[in-house]
Amino acid sequence: MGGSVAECSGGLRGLKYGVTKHYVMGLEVVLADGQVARFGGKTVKNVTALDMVKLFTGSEGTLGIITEIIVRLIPAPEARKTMFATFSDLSDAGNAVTGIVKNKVIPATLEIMDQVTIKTVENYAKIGLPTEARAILLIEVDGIPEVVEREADTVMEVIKNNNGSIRMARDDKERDDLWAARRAALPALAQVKPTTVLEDATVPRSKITEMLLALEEIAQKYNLQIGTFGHAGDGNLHPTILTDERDKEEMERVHAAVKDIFEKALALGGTLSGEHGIGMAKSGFLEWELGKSGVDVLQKIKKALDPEGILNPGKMGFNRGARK
Amino acid sequence: MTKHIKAVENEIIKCMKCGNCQAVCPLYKETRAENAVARGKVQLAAAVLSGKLDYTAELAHRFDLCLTCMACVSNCPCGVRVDKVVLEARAALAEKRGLPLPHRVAAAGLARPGLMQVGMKAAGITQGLLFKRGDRGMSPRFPLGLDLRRVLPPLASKSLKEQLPGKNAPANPVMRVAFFAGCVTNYVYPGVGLALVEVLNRHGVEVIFPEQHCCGAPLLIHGIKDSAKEMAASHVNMFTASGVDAVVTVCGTCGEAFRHHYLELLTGKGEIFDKACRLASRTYDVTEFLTGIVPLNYELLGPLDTNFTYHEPCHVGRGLGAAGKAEELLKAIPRAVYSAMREPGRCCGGAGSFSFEHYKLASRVLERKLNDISDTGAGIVVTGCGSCRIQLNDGLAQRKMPQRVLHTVELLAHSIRSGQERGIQIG
Repeated sequence: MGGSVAECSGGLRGLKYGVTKHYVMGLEVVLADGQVARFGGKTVKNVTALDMVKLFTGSEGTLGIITEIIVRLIPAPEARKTMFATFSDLSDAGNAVTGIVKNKVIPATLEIMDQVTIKTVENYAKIGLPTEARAILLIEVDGIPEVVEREADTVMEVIKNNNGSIRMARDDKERDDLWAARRAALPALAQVKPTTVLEDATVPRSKITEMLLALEEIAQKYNLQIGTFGHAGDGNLHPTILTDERDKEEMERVHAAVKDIFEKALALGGTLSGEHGIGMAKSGFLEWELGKSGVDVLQKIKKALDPEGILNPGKMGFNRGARK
Repeated sequence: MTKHIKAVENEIIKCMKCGNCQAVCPLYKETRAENAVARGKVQLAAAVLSGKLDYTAELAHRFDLCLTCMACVSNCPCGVRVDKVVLEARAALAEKRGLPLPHRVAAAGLARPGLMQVGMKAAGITQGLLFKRGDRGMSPRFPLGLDLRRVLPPLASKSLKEQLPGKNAPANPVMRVAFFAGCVTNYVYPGVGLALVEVLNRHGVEVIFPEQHCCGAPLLIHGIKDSAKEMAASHVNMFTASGVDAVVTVCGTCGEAFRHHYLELLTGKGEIFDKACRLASRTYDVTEFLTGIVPLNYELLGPLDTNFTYHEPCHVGRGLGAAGKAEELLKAIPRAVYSAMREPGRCCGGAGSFSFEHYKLASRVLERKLNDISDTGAGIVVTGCGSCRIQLNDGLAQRKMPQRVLHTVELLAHSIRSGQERGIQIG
């Protein structure tokens, strides 16, 4: 829990249920000078002073050490329906994603896998995936049974209108089978080559198709294997570059490709990281998204709360060089 | 001197540092230390590989702290074989730093079957001088390198080797198998071996009990590769010579030695490697054998009025990939009620000699298992590994819990006997 809050982690259900920060109501934090502070609490409404709970959530351990967390709980959904759609055209898949939401359905999960990923998963797990498909969507709606019925009908209609073919899981066993493909995505990609560089550049949902096409171009431009899967519903993609860190020449192309990915995501109105955080690897790119003025604000906050830079040095661009 | 770690370089660079191992590592759960979890150990190995770290005592200690339970391996999205990284690191450390005295003594014993047999016999006779007997086992009278609170099973007055003939044939056998017992079954729980022979004989399977010694896994786990290699070769020759259709084991670690470790240890050794491959493909844990090769005959099973739960040994479930098979067999016993525990495949903390060397830490891991056992309300804990059994028995005695621990094949034997006698009660 501490790790999830400090990093503000997301996941498969972000579209409907949000991410960690949407559930954190209060925190107790030990500050760099040893003082203990409490922010937020158990009330749904709380506008007392600045929203420090949000500031510490996702601070990656750079502002204080979280020692107590108050979270909001929600009831587990009563029913769910899982569907699996295949597309022979990438933009059809992208249009289906936006079409579902336009038709007032917010699925709990709306996952996408591109062709490289589909082929790799099929090669690894042999579960009968259509390797000729350009994209697969895995869609799950959940909630009150009657509503779930109606939402599933809408989803199927949207898929058909966008030239997709759809399968619905009839029971838990079939649901597990459909999920097996998504669960196998990362392990399967990771088997192909020794080093896995997993990014999580995120774009607005309406730009999903554009981003997927851009990723294919970047893979071609740098002659790299990039498999992309991820949370299409919230625009959070995981382009996964398959490489070998011992291959210096290829690693240079990998770094160049990563830069292009960030550049494209930002140009589309997106962000460097949807859920993985900045850490050390992305800290050099902060200014691309926040500008100099934005980075200055971060530095001032850090300086105010941790003037000696003792908290998680080297992360998020703070106190770089403090750690060798 | 990084040839060992170099050998697992491909595993090390596969790690993408996601930390999924934190969620399942039993030691991380207790220590909350990054260097206890797989990701940390992989990075330590990487640091050795790149020359940033030297083979220090501290480093050796870090690599000691692993149960080799493989929970991280089965939860790793990149499929990093952390177990191999840890074993190679231990081998490198043993080569560079030498082994501590108790390890050297134990290794010498395990590697010399004759010496071990004499030693265990002597220990069986003299154990009363060193240990005091309680209701549930013995505790050391003097520290002896053991925690004084520790309750250990007494060594059997007669080892399995002294009780079991070399050939155990039913009338008109359908198949001939060789039984590899393993040290704990041979010296501590010989009843498991007798039960195995009884169950297999009742299925028309002839059981050969060839000359054998320690499987070598304990040596390999402590980084003593050379002796493990000799033992692998010796077993491959002895068991190939027995000319049987299959090898049956009653311990996941021993099974893994025959199926996985011997192949790795004998790679590139020509003819003996080919023999090892043939043997590996015919080695089965008893639960695999009775679910796949000669299926359990349900008509032999008689009722047992008992309520049992099952603890899945790491090296049976994840090591051999035989998860679920024991439960499948045991659930067939009429009237016996199976109450599944939470996370049956989570390590009990035994891990061979780990619990002897790190008693306090191992006991904390065990606490969680005991809670899970207690919550089932079962009277019998069934498991498929001698080392788990020693560990569970210690914990049950410490907590004064009433459960008995039996091997899967023992409960099956009870049921078959009940089938013959029409109903017996155990537990």
